[in-house]
Amino acid sequence: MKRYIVFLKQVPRSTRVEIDPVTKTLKRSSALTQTNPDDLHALQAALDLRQNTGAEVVAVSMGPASAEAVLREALQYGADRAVLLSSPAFAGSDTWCTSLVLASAVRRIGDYDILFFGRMAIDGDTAQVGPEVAGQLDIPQVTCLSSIHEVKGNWLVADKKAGSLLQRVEIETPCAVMVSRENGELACPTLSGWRRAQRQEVIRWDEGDLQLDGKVVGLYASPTKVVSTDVPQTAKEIRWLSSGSSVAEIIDKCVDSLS
Amino acid sequence: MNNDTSFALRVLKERCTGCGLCADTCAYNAIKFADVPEIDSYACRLCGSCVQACPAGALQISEPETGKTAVPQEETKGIWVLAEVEDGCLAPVARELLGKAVVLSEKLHHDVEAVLIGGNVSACASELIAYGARRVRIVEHESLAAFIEENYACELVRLVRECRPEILLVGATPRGRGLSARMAALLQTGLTADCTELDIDSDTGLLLQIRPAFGGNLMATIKTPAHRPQMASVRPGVMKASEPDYSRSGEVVYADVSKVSSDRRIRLIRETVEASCGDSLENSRIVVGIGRGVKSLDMVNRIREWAARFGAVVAGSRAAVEAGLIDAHMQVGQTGHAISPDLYIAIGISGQIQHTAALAGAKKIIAINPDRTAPIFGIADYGWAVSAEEALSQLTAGGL
Ligand SMILES: Cc1cc2nc3c(=O)[nH]c(=O)nc-3n(C[C@H](O)[C@H](O)[C@H](O)COP(=O)(O)OP(=O)(O)OC[C@H]3O[C@@H](n4cnc5c(N)ncnc54)[C@H](O)[C@@H]3O)c2cc1C
Ligand code: SF4
Ligand code: SF4
Repeated sequence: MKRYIVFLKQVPRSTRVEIDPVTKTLKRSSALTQTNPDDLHALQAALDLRQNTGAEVVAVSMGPASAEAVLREALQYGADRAVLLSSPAFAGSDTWCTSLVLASAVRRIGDYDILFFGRMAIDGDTAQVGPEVAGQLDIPQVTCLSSIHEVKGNWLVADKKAGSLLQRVEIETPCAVMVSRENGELACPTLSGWRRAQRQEVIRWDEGDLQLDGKVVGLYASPTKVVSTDVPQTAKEIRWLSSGSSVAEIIDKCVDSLS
Repeated sequence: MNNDTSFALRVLKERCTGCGLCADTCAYNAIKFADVPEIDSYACRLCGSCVQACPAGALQISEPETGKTAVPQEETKGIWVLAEVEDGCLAPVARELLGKAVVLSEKLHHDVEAVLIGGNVSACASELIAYGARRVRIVEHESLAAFIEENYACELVRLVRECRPEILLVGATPRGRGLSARMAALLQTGLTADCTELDIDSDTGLLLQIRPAFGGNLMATIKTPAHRPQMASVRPGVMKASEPDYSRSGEVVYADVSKVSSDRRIRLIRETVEASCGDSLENSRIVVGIGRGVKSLDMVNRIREWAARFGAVVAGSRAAVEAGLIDAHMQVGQTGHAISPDLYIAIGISGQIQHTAALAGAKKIIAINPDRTAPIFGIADYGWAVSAEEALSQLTAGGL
């Protein structure tokens, strides 16, 4: 029996706080959440591959209780099982600690072939978690997956992309792949999938279930510390222009200095 | 609800005015509001946005009692730059990182060192010395000829463990990202992504890693107090290289490669190098950026014709990409390219930090937007407060 584990993160629907132009108050809409877009593509890639291999697909998310919504969605799309990793001890984890929690969940689930990650989460924006989990588990990684060709026994044949460098590789499982929105279309959840999801349970694990000491994860244990946040400096002096010809002049001057 | 007093985010009730701003700011819905805010510690991700938003200073994220001042046990030395080589040539970001490393070394008094890894890379060493490296460490072996992340990470981690640098800077390039994250995991240290500024804290000597933060409207300053090396990645085009000086001398050290082996779990079947379109963008001297203020493809075409007259490349914001006005590979911003042209002309771009963070290296910026309060004017050298339509009709009228 093969097993794929897909990692999905709940992110704010908008990462921008907006001001309502009419009432001049902050818009509440910022509190809406969604599944990180790349992660749905990771799920799709796992489900597509399952058609050929018959693997079990397990969806995993670390986050607050509300992140169950992300896992419900994954079940509707067709995931077989879902696990929510939730505890105040996890709050404030940087990518290293996040990866430690996720890697511990992988160990507890056990017997896996491929880990599917989104390339990047739109709120933290680091694209580090997938490769860090692969590093912590010491398994090979496909950082920027273009496409999966086939699975031959314990080997995955895949195309990967690193900027201008395109590679076709054979990678031994267990391994990790990072999937992005560029990887193709999403299928829609089916009615039967939706019905089945209604009956399924989301498993919930905290640090105890993962046999982790609460002190090795979360804000305090994270190697990186956010020490301050500031509004960006905008000290630049601006010169206002009033016509297209002044723009043309600046361009002319720049073109002259370049030649 | 959980009002756990041991949770790192605390409400100082005596300061709170009950304005409710914090609850509105929280993108994770972690603040429930009665008379005073209550933090749901299961939902809170400790992102710090509410602390920043509170006008009364009533919210605090407390520092841990222990670990705060913990200093690494082992002695470390050197500010390292991982120098990426592409097709036998040094990637521009390597020179940019060296420029920054030299500035940092003036405050921290550690040597600047560059690391080269690959099958045949030693030819780049003299260039690295000219750009500021005091020492170049070379990890050269035929089995490193192909870029296989697992092999590179393994060898670099070995070298880092042996030499223990204080700081390790990497380019946030398609290759550098996955490699550096894997290395950080193996080295059990922190890695700050996409820094737009780096500095040394004068009190502690720690690397201050500054990056655009969650919410997009904030810059976060991040430190790595107790883990080494302090790792940070920087996008190409963000830092400035210094002038090369080929008369400088430096040391070249070859790392022991007797233990190099390739990971048997990865077999490279074939490899091709694609001519990348993004290159033209990162190297362009004049770039015209379009945003949602440009309303139609017809306008985009007119802008292209106009830009071609003075040899500019046309790129766009994420909004323009999402509106189908510009190809995704020509996106300038946090999730696209960072650029450092001599002149950037922003047409109909509002100037969200995700976009402007990628313009840190631009020498001059002209912003065209009808809204005088648009954030783009905050970073522009020249502003012209007109609509894209109006601007275009005036600009294309004259025969520039
Ligand atoms: C202002 C600010 C700045 C930060 N900067 C840094 C920094 O520079 N370095 C750093 O180490 N940390 C940083 N962090 C912490 C970082 O945001 C968190 O560690 C976050 O949990 C994971 O990072 P990410 O969102 O960038 O995920 P990414 O690495 O972009 O995510 C990639 C993929 O990993 C999987 N994944 C990620 N998180 C989860 C999850 N919770 N559950 C399931 N799957 C998941 C998903 O498949 C996702 O698509 C910062 C936090 C803040 C508030
Ligand atoms: S720290 Fe962030 S997640 Fe926590 S309550 Fe404040 S705004 Fe919400
Ligand atoms: S923003 Fe500050 S003052 Fe206003 S309700 Fe929140 S904690 Fe109180």
